[in-house]
Amino acid sequence: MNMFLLSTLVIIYLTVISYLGYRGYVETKNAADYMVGGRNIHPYIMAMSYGATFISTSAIVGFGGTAALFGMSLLWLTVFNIGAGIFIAFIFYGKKTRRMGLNLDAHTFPEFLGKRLDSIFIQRFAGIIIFVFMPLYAAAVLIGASRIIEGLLGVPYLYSITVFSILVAFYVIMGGLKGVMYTDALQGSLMFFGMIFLLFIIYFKLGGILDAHTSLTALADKVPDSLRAIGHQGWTASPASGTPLWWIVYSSLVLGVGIGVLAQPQLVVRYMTVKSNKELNRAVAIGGLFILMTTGTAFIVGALSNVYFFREFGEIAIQYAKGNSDKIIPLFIREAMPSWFGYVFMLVILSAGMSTLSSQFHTIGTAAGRDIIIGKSTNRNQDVIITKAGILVSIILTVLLGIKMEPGIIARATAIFFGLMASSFLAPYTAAIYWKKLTRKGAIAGIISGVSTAVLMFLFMHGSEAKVFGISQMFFGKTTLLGGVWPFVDPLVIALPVSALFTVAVSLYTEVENPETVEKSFKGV
Amino acid sequence: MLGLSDFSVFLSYSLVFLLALTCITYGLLKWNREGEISEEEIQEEKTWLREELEIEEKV
Repeated sequence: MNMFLLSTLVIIYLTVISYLGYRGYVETKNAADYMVGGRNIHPYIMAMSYGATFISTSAIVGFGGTAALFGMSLLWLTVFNIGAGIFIAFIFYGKKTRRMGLNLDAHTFPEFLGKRLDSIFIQRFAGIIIFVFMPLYAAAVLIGASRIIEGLLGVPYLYSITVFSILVAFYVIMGGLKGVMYTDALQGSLMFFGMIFLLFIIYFKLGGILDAHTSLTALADKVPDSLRAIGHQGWTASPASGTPLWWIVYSSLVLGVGIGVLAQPQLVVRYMTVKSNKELNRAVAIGGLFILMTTGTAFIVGALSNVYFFREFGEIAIQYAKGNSDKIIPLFIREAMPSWFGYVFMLVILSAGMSTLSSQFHTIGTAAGRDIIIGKSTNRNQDVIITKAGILVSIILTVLLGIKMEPGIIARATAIFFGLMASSFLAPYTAAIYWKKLTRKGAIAGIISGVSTAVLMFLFMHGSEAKVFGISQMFFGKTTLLGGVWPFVDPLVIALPVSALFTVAVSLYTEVENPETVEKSFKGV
Repeated sequence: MLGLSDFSVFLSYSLVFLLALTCITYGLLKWNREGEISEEEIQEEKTWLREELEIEEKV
């Protein structure tokens, strides 16, 4: 490890970040009253900051490692990331949400749903779901960043997660999210160019696109037996259809995360912070390119790292990482990249992790202080204390999860959270912005049926979670209730249609409770 | 198929680039559209922003 190079880079980086953070903070503060009239949030900054929140350590380290394990079929997730996460999200959800959010003066996702349907229950219930489940996703991001420190600096995992958690806690409690516009844009840009460099280097090292892919195809006979048994057919092939691996890749990773992004509370609020649809249109261009270069690169590099590890060390990636897929990307960067790149990349990943964690804890904090405890309390201090206490509790929970969860968990934990959010909210949220006939009862039915179907499936049907919780085992004496491929089918596949069915059916059989709210919501939409 | 053994993987590899290109084209074509907002909207936005800053203070 080159300490001089590392400390110089860290100092330069921290100086720039602090300066940008300060500038952003001052501008936001001063601009309170007149900014909306005149100043634009540059679409580059909007897209980069959305990107830096959406694509974090979890996507690059966790899913990159998963691509090293399962292969390039994971690129279907990038197809969804761009098609759904950017194109559909910004154009079909973003524009309407922005206008409706303004009409309703909503500031959080639960508040948006609650005010649209005149329901404190919905706001509170959505707040509770977020408060309870968000730490799982935050833990995935935390683990990703800690694995990078572990892999690149050789610091034991327990130390790296402890030090990084303290850093994050400090950052968040000091008011981390304020004025992040510019810092996010810088982090996003560094990530963007870092990933381009990574993509270029891997193809260069492996002899060009065609040679690299052909060599990866040729490694098909090196697929470990345990993976072959569940459907793995090589890293440039799709898993055999209908096999457990096929369901894992397409239902959990591709569909769960790819569609789940549409109902992410911390991303939905970003639509409301832009000034007009023009910014959203422009952000589509920048966001599309950004996602291509970040997740696209992570999955391609992840899969191709097998060729590199095999040539250099005679082992495929997962063997070299001793069975922990979360370690593959950090190890690849340490072994294959120049050391300065490793350090820069580490800073980028760490700061991306911090910005995502910061916005996750921000979402958790507002869920506690604004959505679960609703109503203008007369005591401002009490609000602040509840919000901060909520954040503190969730940070502690997140760190405990980060230490306790099994190796190779990042992608899984992310998928569970995305799937849960989509199961609970996607159908009612879509109806809320497109369908005037959606009723409060319909939305409540949709949310409750979605979340309960998903949770029941996690506890009794979906293998990996059912095994951890052991509730099915306790009651029925077996890990999951159904056999065959069922333990691999993601709960979202069932829970989302159930939620959609309940949302529509109950709305059709009930009357819209408050037509004035509907008119107010749809004004100008 | 670019050295990829499976058509589905080749399709995803191509679609990733095609979709990104679609996004870029869409964004560039609409670069200056839908930017005009009404006076009423500006007022609403001011109210929204004041409340937002107050929330930020609490977090």
